[in-house]
Amino acid sequence: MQKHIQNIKKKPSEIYIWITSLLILCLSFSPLLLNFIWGNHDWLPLIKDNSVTSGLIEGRFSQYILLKLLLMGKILPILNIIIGFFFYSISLYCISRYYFKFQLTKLSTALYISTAASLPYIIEILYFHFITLSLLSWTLIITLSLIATQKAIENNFIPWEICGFTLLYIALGGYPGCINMYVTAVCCRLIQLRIAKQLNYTQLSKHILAHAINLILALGLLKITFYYLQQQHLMMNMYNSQAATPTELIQKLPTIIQAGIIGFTETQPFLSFSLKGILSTIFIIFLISIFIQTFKTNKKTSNILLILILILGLIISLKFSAWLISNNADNAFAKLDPATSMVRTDFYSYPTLILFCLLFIQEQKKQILKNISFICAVFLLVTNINTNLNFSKIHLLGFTAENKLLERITNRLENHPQYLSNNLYTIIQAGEIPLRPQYYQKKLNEKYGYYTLNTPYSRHWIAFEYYNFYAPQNFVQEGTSIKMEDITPEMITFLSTQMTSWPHPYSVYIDDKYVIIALTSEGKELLRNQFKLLHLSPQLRR
Amino acid sequence: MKEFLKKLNLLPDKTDLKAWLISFGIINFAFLYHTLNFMWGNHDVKFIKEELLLSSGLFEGRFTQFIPYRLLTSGQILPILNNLLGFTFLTIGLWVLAKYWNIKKSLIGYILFISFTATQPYTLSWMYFTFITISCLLWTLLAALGLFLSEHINNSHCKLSLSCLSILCFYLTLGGYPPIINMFFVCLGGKIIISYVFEQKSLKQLFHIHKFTILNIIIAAILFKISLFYLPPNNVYNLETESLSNLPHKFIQTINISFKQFFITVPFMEKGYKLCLAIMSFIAIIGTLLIPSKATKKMLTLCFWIGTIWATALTTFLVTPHTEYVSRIDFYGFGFLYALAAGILLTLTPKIYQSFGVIIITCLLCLNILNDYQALKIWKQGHEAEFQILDNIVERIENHPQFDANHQYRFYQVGDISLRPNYYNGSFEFNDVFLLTIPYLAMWQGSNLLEFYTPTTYIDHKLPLLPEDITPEVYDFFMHKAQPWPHPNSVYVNQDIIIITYNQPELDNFKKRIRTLYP
Repeated sequence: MQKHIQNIKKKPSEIYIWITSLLILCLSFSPLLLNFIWGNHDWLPLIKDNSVTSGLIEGRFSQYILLKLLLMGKILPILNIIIGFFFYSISLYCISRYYFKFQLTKLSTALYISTAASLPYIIEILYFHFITLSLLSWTLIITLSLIATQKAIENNFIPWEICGFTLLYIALGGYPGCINMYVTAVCCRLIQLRIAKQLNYTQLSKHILAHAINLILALGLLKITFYYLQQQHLMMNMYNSQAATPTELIQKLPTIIQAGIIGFTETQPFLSFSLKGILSTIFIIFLISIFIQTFKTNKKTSNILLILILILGLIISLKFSAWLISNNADNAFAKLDPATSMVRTDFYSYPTLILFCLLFIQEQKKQILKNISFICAVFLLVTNINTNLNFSKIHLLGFTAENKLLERITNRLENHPQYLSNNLYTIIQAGEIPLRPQYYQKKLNEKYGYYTLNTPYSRHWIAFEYYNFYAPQNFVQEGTSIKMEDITPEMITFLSTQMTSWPHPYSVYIDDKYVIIALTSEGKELLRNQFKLLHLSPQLRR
Repeated sequence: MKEFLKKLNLLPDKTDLKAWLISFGIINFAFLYHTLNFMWGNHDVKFIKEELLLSSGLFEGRFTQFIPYRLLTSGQILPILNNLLGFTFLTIGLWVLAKYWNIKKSLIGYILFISFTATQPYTLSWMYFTFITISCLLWTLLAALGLFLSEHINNSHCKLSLSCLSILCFYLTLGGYPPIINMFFVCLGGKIIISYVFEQKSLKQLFHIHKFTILNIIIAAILFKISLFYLPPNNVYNLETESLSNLPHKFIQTINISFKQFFITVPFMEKGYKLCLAIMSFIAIIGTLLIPSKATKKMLTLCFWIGTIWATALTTFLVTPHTEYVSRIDFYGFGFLYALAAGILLTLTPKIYQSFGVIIITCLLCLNILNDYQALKIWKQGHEAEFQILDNIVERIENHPQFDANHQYRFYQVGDISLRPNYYNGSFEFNDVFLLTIPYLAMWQGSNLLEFYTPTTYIDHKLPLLPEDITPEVYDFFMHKAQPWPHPNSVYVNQDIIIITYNQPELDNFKKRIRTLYP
């Protein structure tokens, strides 16, 4: 009874911990919450809503279930992000409280959860509105899956295991990359069980087995689902659904370990050197506390070896999704957004790891380690808030600038003597102009940042989506190529000799069917070369 | 740390925390529209895109101005956080001031004192430029802390460390924005009045307590002057001090100015509002004069009041440029005189004064919020209108037949357009530019503004318009054809230069200047 009363007394402070992390998240991204800014895939979903089947094309069969259930498939300002934050902050609270089973009574816990929640790995998730809610909610689904599996182990109760597996399968069906969170959390828990709870090999293998069964079953079923969807021609065989072969897995292992370690130092836009420095410091303190504890309790070589294997597993788990996907699958995006440095997948591993590290250190006896990690967490939180607000500001300014450009282009089209207001055109946009980088002070050695910084709001292959967005009536139809039978002498002259990049008067060409916009000189050259090939092809000459 | 704060009586209790939190909520509500709409002033354009460096303020002798930004936001101007941090510092500063002045402690009293002072339209003047909001609001906290620590030196065992701390506070604030000196002396004057009237301190006792404050301010001022000597800044407006021979004449002038401040209206601080503030101040003064029984004491109290009122124009007294009725300077001066009046009303006995204080301060707080919202609405409309013009100009340039985006042009903006006044129909006797008339599209910022949202950079920022750019063709165009925006001839582009004409008076000036090239 007394225990129960104590628990009730504790509850307000635990709710306070969760609310703090939610508020910190909201503050960090307040410009995004208050200004409705969307990514380059969102133009059409903003108008037409998302159906439950929208994600099938890339095998993400559960991607829109929550969006459909909670917001009727609509992308709604503020709600979309805030519900996502709600799930995400709850998931971090639940994983700490019910999976890692840390005591969350101290004020510092609020700081640690807030720090982990606001880590800037989340920024890539916030770029595309149409998946924000689902990508953030998978963290909660994964957490529930982990808790269910834990329950299954504790109670030897198979339905919990089934529940864990089902939840994991649903999450992976929404975004396979979220597997990182599952694996990272399991590795952290195993380390905790071995070091803090002193579980023996048999007990530990029971935990490993329960989680591994879930993982293998969920992945297996996911593969079967992909196969079925492809058979039904509902899914394309795309980069994010191709798994590595066993040989590839072995070959990739050193690269993945290396990537896991480099992940603590490699800087990217908004993931600065100072941020990575603090993350590394926390991880090093965590390793130190593990070894202190290990040497204190069990100095046996076999035990040390087991701890080393678990740490290695933890490092692999940070890049687990990159390990599982096929090498070929990554080719198209490898240069711009390699799987081993993808912020979107890191979002599922690093915050979980850092949260675990901070809470784990807090429970150690060495005061100096606790103090250092506390100071690190304070600095990390400040860095996170600043970075996230800076991201939001740049997102806002870039979005405004690109929309202003689109407005000027549309004005030019509408004022063109050839432009007919009732016509339906195919727009050929040569090149793209991402403007977010204009507002970002790039630091030395920063790599990638495809979605966090460099991708434009207007992709050339979906020109019809954004040019029609603000128009009184649609004037652009879907399509991005010139048909040979539509080529006119004027078009030939324009493409081969006159075309100059924006804002030159010859950057825009209009005839009855086509609007050609030469936005950049690179785009212009590419289009010219493509046209030469097309124009000089034997079929056309005939 | 906890013990140290406890000794100083600076450890907040529940009432303090509640009062601060509610006041913080009120000030955030008063300026919510600004917080939610990311607007920036004409000095901010480059800093919004890039970042503030520690050395960014050196050229005008403000060597500490960007330390807070570097420490707190890594030099970034961040939407929302900029205001939140600034308001946090301001409200904590006012809480320290309430402690320093010994304002009668009550939840409602503290809330009214902090939120009334913080929401005065003077605060708006620090929100136009986002690049100094945090630091200039932080200085109020440091100044109040400096005064508070100085006061405690007399009774403390660690005199040296308290002195060093308070000197550091004064020095940092002077290095960031020298007119903060107004606040030092207005608040000190306020403290002397309160101690003399309410705490019945003798002149001797007052001297013993406050000699350290004067000494610390003097040391900080000397250190500030020495720093300026070692960091030779450019000879700019805010460093020109008055010569000694001029000071007697200036003294009389500033007495006049300081008292006129009660009635001079500026944008968003109109007659009725100023009158309410004057009534509140007058009653506070009368209230303090009625407490002492002896006539000499009454006279002395009046002298303290005159001194304090004069201190509100201390910067105007010390510097050559005209700084009277400028809201950003009055923020540190007259704003704190009103705060003093409010604080005294909330402390005075009999209770009728306090009740009156609560009523009038509540009314003034509402008026503050109304004025702030009116200002922010106008700012937003002006900001949008001016940036709309900028968009149209960019479009006009891009569509110009002579324009080549791959070329680097020398740029000149003839005049500017200030559109905030278009949305304001109030009247004022003195125009405070920062509150209303200063344009977002400032003439000297034209090149940065033009490229702010464009995908291409086509302005040569290193070279200004050269004499050789004024070719006979250009000369002829500006002498006979150029017209202000939105006339088709308001934008001139040739192979070397882009010139935009915003207004007729500046166009006339420009004509005069180029006429010297072709007499």
